[in-house]
Amino acid sequence: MTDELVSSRETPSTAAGSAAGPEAVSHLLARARTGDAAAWAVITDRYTGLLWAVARAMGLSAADAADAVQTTWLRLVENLGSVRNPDALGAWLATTARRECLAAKRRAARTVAGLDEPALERLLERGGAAGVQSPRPDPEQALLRSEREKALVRAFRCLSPDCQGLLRALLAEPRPTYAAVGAALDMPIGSIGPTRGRCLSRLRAILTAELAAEAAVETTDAGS
Amino acid sequence: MPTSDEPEPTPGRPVDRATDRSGDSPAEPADDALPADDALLAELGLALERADPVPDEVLAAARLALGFRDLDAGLARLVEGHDGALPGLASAATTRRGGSASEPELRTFAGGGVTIELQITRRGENVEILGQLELAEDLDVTVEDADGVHPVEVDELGRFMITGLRPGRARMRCLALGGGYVATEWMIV
Repeated sequence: MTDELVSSRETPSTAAGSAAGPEAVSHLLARARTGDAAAWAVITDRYTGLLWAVARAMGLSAADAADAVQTTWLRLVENLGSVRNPDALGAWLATTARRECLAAKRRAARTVAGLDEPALERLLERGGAAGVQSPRPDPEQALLRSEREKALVRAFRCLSPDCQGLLRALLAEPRPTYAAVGAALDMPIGSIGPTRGRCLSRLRAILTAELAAEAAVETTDAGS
Repeated sequence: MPTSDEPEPTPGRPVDRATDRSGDSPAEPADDALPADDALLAELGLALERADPVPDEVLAAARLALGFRDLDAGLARLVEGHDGALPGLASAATTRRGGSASEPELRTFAGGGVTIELQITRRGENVEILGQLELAEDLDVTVEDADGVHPVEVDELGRFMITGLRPGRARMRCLALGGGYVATEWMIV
């Protein structure tokens, strides 16, 4: 799985299960330029997972992440005629998404700062301004199957934003290249591997502690 | 620009080129990715997929984005953006009306021979734009938001005022002097 990540170039990835690779991307872009919706759909299906991961990892709410992802696609549509390096499409999209996310966060901060008192209170009652992220659990979390899975997601959310961002980006479907991940997170490609290792070690440590604590509680419950 | 983001390492970024020679690149999974790490990452992937999947609407909207391509218009790009007010455009009466207006934001778009200056103010649930067109016809100026395309009335000096715009994505479109449509990049207002 990870061998798809090692190259600093867009490798002819097999993850998408479709005809992937630089040539395919350039062909798809060429077809999209002529208005070919099917070719465009292959492109968006291939990269939306990465863009979603970038936006969520940067702390955007689901609604703001959806906006940032869509704006990123519209930026590509605007620039469709001037793409001269299709091989770098993943990295370009990730960089653009990152920029849109940063802009969304700046806007949210400004909006909150510019609000008068009653408006601010109304917002706070609603649980926060759009885009101002307070770490709150997603309702879907209730649907998670096993205790271990829940604990794993909880442990993940205890990680630093940088770690969350890197792991999410690495997990985007289809698996992105290190180049795309580096562009998305503004990280040197060479530090991705070591950081990945550190983040996973921390995740494992938190998860182990969580599970041990849960087991201890269960034991106490059973004993009383 | 899509062309500016090369995946190749840049001189400012000491990356894996040097180590690549030995095959011991930091990005080499055999070196840094323990099997246990791979397993944990895969497990995390499944968990997050259930906890926070890419919403179907996001995928569907992405597929439809191509329909927003404006083949007939040149692109006016954002060349400047900062907080402030347009001198001579915004009277105190218009900027101070209403107690909950946000700090105005200035954005300048240029391209296709047209320059569009905008002063964007958020008023509660609506957005107000004061603006000025340079080197554009005062006919057939439109603004597009989530609700669709709306005509914009422009005075003889190229000035206009848009009220009641939906917050979110928007773009403007106008006709350059001498012909040819120009649309701004999508902006978030």
